[in-house]
Amino acid sequence: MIRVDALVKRYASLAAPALRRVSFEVASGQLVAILGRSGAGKSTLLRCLVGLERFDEGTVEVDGVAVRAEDGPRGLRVLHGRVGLVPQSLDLFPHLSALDNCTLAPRIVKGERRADAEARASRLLGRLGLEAEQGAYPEHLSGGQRQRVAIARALAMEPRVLLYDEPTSSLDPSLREEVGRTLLTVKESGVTQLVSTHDWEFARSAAEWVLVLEGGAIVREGEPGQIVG
Amino acid sequence: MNARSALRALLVGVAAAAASPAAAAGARGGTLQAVQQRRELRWGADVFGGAPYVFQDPMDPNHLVGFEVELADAIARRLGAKARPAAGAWDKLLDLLARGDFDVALNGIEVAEEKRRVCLLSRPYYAAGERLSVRRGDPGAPRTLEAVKGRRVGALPGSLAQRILERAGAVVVTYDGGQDQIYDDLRLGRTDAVLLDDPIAHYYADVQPELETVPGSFGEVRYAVAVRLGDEALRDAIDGALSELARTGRLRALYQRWGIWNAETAALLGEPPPARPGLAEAWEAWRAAVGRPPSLRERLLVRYPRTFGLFARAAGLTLLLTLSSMALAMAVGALLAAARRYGAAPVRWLAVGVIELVRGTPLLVQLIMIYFGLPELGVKLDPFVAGWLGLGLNYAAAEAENYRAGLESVPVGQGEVATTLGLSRLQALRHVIAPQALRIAVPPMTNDVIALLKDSSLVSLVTLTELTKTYSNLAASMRDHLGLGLVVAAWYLLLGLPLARLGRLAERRLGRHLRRAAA
Ligand SMILES: Nc1ncnc2c1ncn2[C@@H]1O[C@H](COP(=O)(O)OP(=O)(O)OP(=O)(O)O)[C@@H](O)[C@H]1O
Ligand SMILES: [Mg+2]
Repeated sequence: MIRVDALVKRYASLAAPALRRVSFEVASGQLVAILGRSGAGKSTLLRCLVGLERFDEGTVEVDGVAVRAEDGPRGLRVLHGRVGLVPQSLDLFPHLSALDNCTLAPRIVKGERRADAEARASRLLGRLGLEAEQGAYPEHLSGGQRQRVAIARALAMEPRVLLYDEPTSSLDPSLREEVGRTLLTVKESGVTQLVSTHDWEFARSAAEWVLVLEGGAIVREGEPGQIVG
Repeated sequence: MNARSALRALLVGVAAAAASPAAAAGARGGTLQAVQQRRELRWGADVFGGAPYVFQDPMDPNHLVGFEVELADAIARRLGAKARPAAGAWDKLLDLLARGDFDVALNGIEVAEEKRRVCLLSRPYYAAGERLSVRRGDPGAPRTLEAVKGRRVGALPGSLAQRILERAGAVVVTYDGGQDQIYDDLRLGRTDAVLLDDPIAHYYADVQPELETVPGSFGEVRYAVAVRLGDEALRDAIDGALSELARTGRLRALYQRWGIWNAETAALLGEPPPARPGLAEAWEAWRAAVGRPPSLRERLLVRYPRTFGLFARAAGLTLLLTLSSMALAMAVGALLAAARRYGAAPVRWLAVGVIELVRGTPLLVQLIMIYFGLPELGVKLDPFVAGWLGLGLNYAAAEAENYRAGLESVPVGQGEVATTLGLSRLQALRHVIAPQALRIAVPPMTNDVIALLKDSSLVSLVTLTELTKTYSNLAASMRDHLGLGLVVAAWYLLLGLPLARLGRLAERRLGRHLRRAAA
């Protein structure tokens, strides 16, 4: 579960706030899309939720643990590891194989034994259809494969919530359905998912609930079928 | 510990070091006592100065020979000690003496008033005329003091000859030793004349048929042994030894053997002027060894093999210095780069300041400051430590910039993702950012190791006889610059090529993820 309450984010260089009292809640295991045009504030919102960006007002609560704006930079650490991110640019670790991309954090942060971490990562990659690619370096994978490695890498830390920043934007449109299927696979494991997108069709086909973000504020929300562009 | 108390502790430490016996070893007649206690007289000289002073036997360069070697032995024996030579650049001998690197300096040190401010001088042990050499058959050659006005004339820096020439209005070209080079330049027309002490002219000009030495003396120079200020007891003991050597005729015999017994020295020692030159066996041996370049066969089969031990030892020193300095440069460079990229503003400025200061000043200046400047603050470093510090800190600035370039080449997203996965900043640096940065930094680092290998030649300033110094000494003693130059080049390649290969291996390993998977 993730709950966002009256979140405000200002950039010094920007006159208007990038996020204006954003509030919403996503129940555990739900798959929600955040729909918005370029510049609406999607990435900013996700960066706040994942603890990369400080926010000026409001609260982010993940499964009972709350981070308030007043908590400062240290407070954000609570979110690291609890909320996973699949960045738009993926940012796979280029010097590590697909498998090592997924075992690095569990081993270093959680102190997992290599064998255990590898067994778990291997299962994750397998579930995402990457059995054969475990030993490959990111450089040698296709765009869709890379994205699934980035998802597996985030899932390896067993986050409560997983955020995706525009997962379809860098892919061939024909892969849109594949991404949707991947999200459903992840959903089976019970992880709460929040997907930012400007792709109307994708939001409607993949998500159970849609939030529409405009100028840093949520202007509408509802079931995919009810939301009209 | 706050900054102020740290500074105070540092100052107290420096003051304590300044008062330590090492810095003031010479005080209260201590050096004479020390020499007699350890039964060893350490005397400083520059082998690069060549024959007949102190040089490597051209037939077997593992031995030091020269009239001053024999003189030092004779003096030491009278002090109840054995003479042990110590290396140092000729124009730095008095600085090294003051620093305490050896007990006395004995290497054609000219008696001059201004030297008495920095050292004590013994009674002179040798006197010689200044000899002007010119190209044989050169119609325009300057043959008088009046004629050198406006002409290019070679001399040693800080010598009487230089002062005579400057007074006469000549354009003086100075060389730091390497008598052969001085006369080579004359032969090749780069200078019009050379003014040097009689023994040098005798040994280097007189063996070259293309050169001619103008009859007559252009001034008289006297050599004395230099001891540290405050070491009157040692100076007196050396004076006593010299008087006795003069009285018993040992000095004359020594000079005659080397073919440098002359009217000036005879007058100095109160002996009748020399009649006709007798047999100077040491000079004959020199002439036989180097008068005519030996055949290629003899060089390859006899002479070069005998340099092996000297070069091997020097190569060991060069390699050790290169590797340890690079290690220091990498460690300090990493700290500087980290401070510059991740530090708070004052730390960042400090790092930038250090980098710019070190990078913007010549290594030579830094070495002189470390070796000769720090003792003024009471910090007297061992030659190897001084060379290691100088090279290591100098290259640290370059390494810091390499690492910075590497760090900046890694996209910010890498660090951000690591953060979202729960890695601390240090963990992200170590496991995610550093490996990628290193790949970018390794090629310039490899370049730097090779550059460091070559720059390590500068540590001859701090009396370390590494490869280049070994080469220049040998070339001066054997009068063979080209052949030995190829030999020393081979030694440098022998050290450098494996280092370059190591760099390429590291590069390949760090870039493994960019290659197509092998079968
Ligand atoms: N680091 C920053 N500093 C200043 N302003 C920023 C920063 N990041 C984003 N902004 C501004 O905040 C607003 C929202 O940007 P954001 O990147 O969140 O939009 P987005 O919805 O993700 O757009 P896109 O679909 O193009 O990715 C924009 O006006 C942008 O210029
Ligand atoms: Mg965005």
